[in-house]
Amino acid sequence: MELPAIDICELSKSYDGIMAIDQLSLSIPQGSIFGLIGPNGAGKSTLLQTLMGILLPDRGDACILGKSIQDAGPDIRQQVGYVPDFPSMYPMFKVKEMFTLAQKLYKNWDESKCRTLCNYFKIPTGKRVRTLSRGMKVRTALVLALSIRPQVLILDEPTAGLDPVARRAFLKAMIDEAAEGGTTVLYSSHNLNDLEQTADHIAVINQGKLLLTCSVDELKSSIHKSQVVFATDNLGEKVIDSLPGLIEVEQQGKIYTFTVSGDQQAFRKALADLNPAIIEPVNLSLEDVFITYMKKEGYSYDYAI
Amino acid sequence: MITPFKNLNLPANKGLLWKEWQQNRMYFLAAFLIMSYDPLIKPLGYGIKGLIGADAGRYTVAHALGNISGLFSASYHNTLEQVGMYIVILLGVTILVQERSGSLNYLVSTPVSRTEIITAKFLTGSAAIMGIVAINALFMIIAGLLLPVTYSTGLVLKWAVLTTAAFLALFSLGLMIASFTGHLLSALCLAMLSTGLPSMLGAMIINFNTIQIFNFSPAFISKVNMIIHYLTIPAYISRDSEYMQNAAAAVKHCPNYPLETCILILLMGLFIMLAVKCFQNNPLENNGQMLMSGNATHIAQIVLAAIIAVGNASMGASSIAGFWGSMVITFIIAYLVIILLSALVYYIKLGR
Repeated sequence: MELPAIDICELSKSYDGIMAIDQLSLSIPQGSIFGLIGPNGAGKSTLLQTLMGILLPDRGDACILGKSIQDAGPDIRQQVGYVPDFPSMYPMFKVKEMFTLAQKLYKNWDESKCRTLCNYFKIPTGKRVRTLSRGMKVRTALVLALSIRPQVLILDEPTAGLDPVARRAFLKAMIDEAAEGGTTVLYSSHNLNDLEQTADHIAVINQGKLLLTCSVDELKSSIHKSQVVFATDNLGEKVIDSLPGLIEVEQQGKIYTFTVSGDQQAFRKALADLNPAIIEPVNLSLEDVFITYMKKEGYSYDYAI
Repeated sequence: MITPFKNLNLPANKGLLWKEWQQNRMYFLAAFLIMSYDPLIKPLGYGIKGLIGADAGRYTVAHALGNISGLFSASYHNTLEQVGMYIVILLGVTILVQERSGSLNYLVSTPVSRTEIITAKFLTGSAAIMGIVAINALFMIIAGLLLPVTYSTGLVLKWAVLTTAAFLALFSLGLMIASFTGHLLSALCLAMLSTGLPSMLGAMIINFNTIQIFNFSPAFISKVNMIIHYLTIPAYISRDSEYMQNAAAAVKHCPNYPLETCILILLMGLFIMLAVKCFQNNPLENNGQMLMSGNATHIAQIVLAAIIAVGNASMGASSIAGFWGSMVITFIIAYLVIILLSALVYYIKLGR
């Protein structure tokens, strides 16, 4: 069996007594593009920073490419590219000096790839880092991360500060790296449309705990939404509540929108017993699925004036 | 068996050394210019002005010579030693604390160990300090060979070795304190306090005896004096200056150069080992903000105020009543000042 690219085992990390990661275990297969999603404060950045050795775990361990992050951190990081949510680097350095530093620190530094990527992302190499915009810093950080020819790429909300054109270019570079170099990509993002387009697996975490991990298709097929038209506009609460797997129901006159999880056959059968006039499945995006899933887990905002 | 300082082979990483030089060379240049003002820049300037004939009465070669000689024979206060010892502490603190604004997160995510990071900082800073003292010493030697001076080349060499060792010990102390504190001001205050702490404790113990809170034997007091003598790093420089300015007559007070240099090197080694150990175990998530946030804040503020109060009262009081009175008043003042400083640091931090 192939060794997972990243194997997280019972990892815990707390800040001032608050558990940011709580005994989290996760296995990320080699060559996959793995999305990490969760609400703000779920522990995504903490998890990625712990993997990179920026934070020290309280308990548990993680292995990247078969080596423990606690025992062989520097060796592992030779093969791991990292783009943080707020790339800081060295403000007084020129961009080309940052590349020179990386060249001196990484054994597998690929100068020609760096030049190609600089042209691709239009990086002003003569400028000082402190004068760059956030988006340009993110692009520079990606160039740094990709030029080391990484086997694992860890990205922490990398597209947050990018314009749509740059975001598309960023995702393309990431996918190309995964496709051509066999690089495993672990990336957290709140932009679920990006994840839907790029990731093959995802993990949902909340309050430091892993809620689920599966393929994007599996997650999308776990929750369904249907618009149903009935002859009556008053089905009755008891009838609605008796529908199996029901998460949410919205009503506009005789049109009901049901969001359900679990066994679809059982729901369809129960629905058929209510003699609906029309049943229309609604396509759910990953974002819809995630919001519904988190609502099911008790995370939602009910706004009312 | 637990070995507390295993894997401390202080590996040097060329990339990191390059980075440290790129990042800190302006600080090193500023330190060189300030520290060299009295022993090098001023005499050179006087000499040049004398040579080109500007205000011939004042700026003469002889005047320049007088200034160079005066460094040893008459001038006790000079920028290399008296200002230099604070500059090297500041360098030790700054070289690490400046990374806390975000670049440290980048650095620890690269393929370097924390030991390599702190070693590179220590090696670069040490090289700069050695360079500064060496340039000044070289100038003194050359000046001594060309012009009639009251010091010998051997004396300058001994002075250079001892001063370098003292500077390196102070630099390592600053680095060690910066390895567990997160803010420049907190690190600097703690480093300054640490350098003066041994002499403060010594004065306290001796004054306890004087005002008869405790009755220590003369042998005990003598031992305390001896320990303090060797633990107060700035005193190595001051004593040395005192000796230098009376070089001809002060044979009795001649520093034991080999012994003092060895002690300073041992202290430097101890500080750098502690710095590596602290930095390896620093979780970094709180940005190492000791004395700045969390539950430790109030404890640290009270302990600091108490140390200052006890130290001040012990050294100055002439009676037991005076001791308690002075201690209470100093504690209140010190506590308020620390709170104000903490608030100022927060303000600066938030502003940034």
